[in-house]
Amino acid sequence: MQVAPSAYLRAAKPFLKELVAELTKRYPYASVLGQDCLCREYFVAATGMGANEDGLLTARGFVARVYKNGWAEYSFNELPEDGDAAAFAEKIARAVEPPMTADPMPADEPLSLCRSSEFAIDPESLGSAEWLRRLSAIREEALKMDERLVDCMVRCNYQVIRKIFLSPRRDLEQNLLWTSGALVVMALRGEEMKEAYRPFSGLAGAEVLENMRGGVPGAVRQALDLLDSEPIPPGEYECVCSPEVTGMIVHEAFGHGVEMDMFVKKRALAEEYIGKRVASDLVTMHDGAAAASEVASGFFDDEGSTAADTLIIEKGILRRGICDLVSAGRLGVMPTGNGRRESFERKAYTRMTNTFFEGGSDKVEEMIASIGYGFLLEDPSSGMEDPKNWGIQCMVNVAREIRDGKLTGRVFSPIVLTGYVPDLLQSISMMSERVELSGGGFCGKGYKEWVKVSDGGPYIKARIRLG
Amino acid sequence: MLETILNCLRESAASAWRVNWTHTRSAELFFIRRGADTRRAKDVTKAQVSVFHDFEEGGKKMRGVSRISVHPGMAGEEIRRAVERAVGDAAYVKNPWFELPDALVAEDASPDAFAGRPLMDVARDAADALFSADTLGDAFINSAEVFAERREERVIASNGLDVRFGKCALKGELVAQCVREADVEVYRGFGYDTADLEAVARVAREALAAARDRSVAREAPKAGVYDCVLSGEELATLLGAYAEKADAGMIFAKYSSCRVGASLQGGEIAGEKLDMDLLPSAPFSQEGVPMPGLPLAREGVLQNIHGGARFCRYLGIAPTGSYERVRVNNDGRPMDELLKAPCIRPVLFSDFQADALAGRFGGEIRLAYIYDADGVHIVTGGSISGSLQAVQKDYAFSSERYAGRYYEGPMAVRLRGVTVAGR
Repeated sequence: MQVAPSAYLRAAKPFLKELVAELTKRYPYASVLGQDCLCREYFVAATGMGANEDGLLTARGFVARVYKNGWAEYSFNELPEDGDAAAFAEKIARAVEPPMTADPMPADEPLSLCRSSEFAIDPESLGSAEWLRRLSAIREEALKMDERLVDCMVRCNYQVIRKIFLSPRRDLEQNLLWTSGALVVMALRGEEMKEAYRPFSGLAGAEVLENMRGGVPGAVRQALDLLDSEPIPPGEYECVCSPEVTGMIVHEAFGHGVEMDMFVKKRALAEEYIGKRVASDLVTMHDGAAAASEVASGFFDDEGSTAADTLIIEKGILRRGICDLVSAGRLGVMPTGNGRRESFERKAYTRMTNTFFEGGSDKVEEMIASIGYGFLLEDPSSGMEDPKNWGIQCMVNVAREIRDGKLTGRVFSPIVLTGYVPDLLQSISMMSERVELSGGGFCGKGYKEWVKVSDGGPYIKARIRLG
Repeated sequence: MLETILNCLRESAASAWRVNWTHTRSAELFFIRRGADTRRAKDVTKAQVSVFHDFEEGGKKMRGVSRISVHPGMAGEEIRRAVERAVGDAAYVKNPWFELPDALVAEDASPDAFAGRPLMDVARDAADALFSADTLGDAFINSAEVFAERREERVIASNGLDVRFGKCALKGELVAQCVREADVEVYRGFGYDTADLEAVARVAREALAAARDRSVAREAPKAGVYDCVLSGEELATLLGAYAEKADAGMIFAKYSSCRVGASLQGGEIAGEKLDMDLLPSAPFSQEGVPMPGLPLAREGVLQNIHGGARFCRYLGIAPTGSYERVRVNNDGRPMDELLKAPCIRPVLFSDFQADALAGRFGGEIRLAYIYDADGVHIVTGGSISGSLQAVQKDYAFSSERYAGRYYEGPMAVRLRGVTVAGR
């Protein structure tokens, strides 16, 4: 099945085309992005049930963008009742004027596109009663497994993303369906709540629910293991990272550092390393809305640039970064389809989409067996970028002790990964074959501008400072 | 739009309903160094509609709710269909019945915090204030964002509740860079309810000074267990965990064991006993409940639980609205005394976090000062981690004060037994 287009956006299109035409009488270039996005979220927890539209991800509105040496934008969600595009263009011009920045004019190569993503099970036709019934069943299955569990929060949402982009020479439309969910299993040790988190996601529909059900035993086991966890003695260790932890390292430690709006601001060390070695030769890294089938996949970005599969690191050598339209103009490179907005209400920045390491040729068992003393790292919880200095901060929930090539059963938690990004990436000595991506959460630019992303890779073996 | 929504709701089968209507306008300035990057303006109207449906399940009275967004441009028929769908969805949300907040008709008459000035002018003044601190040469503002926002809010409910209030916000962020020795940067966010230009300039000055110190920092601290002096926003994050633990939803779900009348800091408190208040961020909650502020703790004992109607009613208390801001009234010693060697004072983290549920806190150190017998040493790298349950028994606060967006109170606290990962 394919995602259907937005009747609202299609009805608004003639006015928006006229608005772009009126704006281009005043400015050398103008565009309008329209979005009609619906996100329904269902959850079941000890706090109760919920069947709501997500207030952040459900949005209908427009952003007009104008260029005259520099850039200005106007976000709005009410179209004029009289349909007077000239008067509306005048209103925009009065509200905000582009600064004089000597930015180059965008190429605006001609393109017309209308694409929709596909899915197997229609989340809308499943109905709210069935959504809540299935989530309740997953929760009950988890809670039955051990009486020490305090709760199992189960939530899942589907986002129907419908966007149009209009410029003098571009007329683009895309309709996408992203579904993501999570299990949070909670167990209490004294006053301390221990949580195991499992994300599930895809460029898909309600079929994601089946994967969630399959994740219950692992999440419960992990929450119970955490009851016996202890603080880790700080130090540098040989580690095997699960694909989720690999994903966090890919995304937080390196991905943010190759967002090229940071190159424009001279905030990214990566700019000086193009063509140089930044990782072991096992490492090949991609990003792109066309690079994988996940929750950041699509056909064009929020500036009308087409989706790509960007090769960032090739066998350890940094090849290029990812780029939005404005930064690309300033740097004299081509945009890579990474100009993304939290919504029509926010500015576009260079943002990651689906970011991952390619797989290697090792077996996970061999990777664990190769470690004298170290840890298997699982369940990442958060991370923060440092593109200027390539410092790492990643928080991980679980470190499983490995001694003489075997898991001992001892668990340490919580864990802070720190260090210098190239040291970690160059220490990667083994990689498993299978690549797994997940997109259960959001990515911020600094501390705001939340967008859905996915990240991942294979299991990797590396030397990492833990605390 | 609002009248159409209300008509659809009045004609619907909903047992009760509430509309949260907002109109937001903003002016936004983006800078790279001192030069303009992009300018933006926003004019957006939104309505969030909560539809309640009462029913019985197994002889028990239930009240389900479903929340939808209604956008300008939605025709009457489209709104009607959305409301009908929400009423239907609410019928499957099997939550025990609760009473909604009492009816109230009120309007906050506080004057406009920007004195009616155009938002673009407020944003420009704030940018000028920010860059007024940019005079150091080797440490400078790399990039900045300034947002001036004016918002009108209205909450209308089926029982006759109708409250209106306005809110201004001046917020943004800056990245300070220093190239004195190592090329480093420091991020700082800011947010105020008024056009507090002096506060904006102070944030920039402090960020630039921190960038200079980070530039000369060479090595990570030695690994070990330290007395740790936390200050500013990190202290706000740490103590904000108490407001989170006292949230009615957390207590109802048994995620938090807080009880009114019980110690908030556990037993055997050797240090300062917390004296805290909850402060409002707006005159009314999202449910239209007046939020005058509440005592949170006296002598370390919890005084009030706070939260929305559903969880407060389940716990048998009147709804208070959910509070995010805290004031800590404890006094303490001068900073010089608090920083008595040996101790570590981290002042910049990449992302300091305090988990109210797990009771853990920590983060990667971007800049810290080690106080020992040889003096004060600047360090960077490594991380701290600790247990709230362990450190809360022995708080020692500073007498100097600090005010942030979500916190007012002592500038710093000294914590014992904090693990530092480093060299």
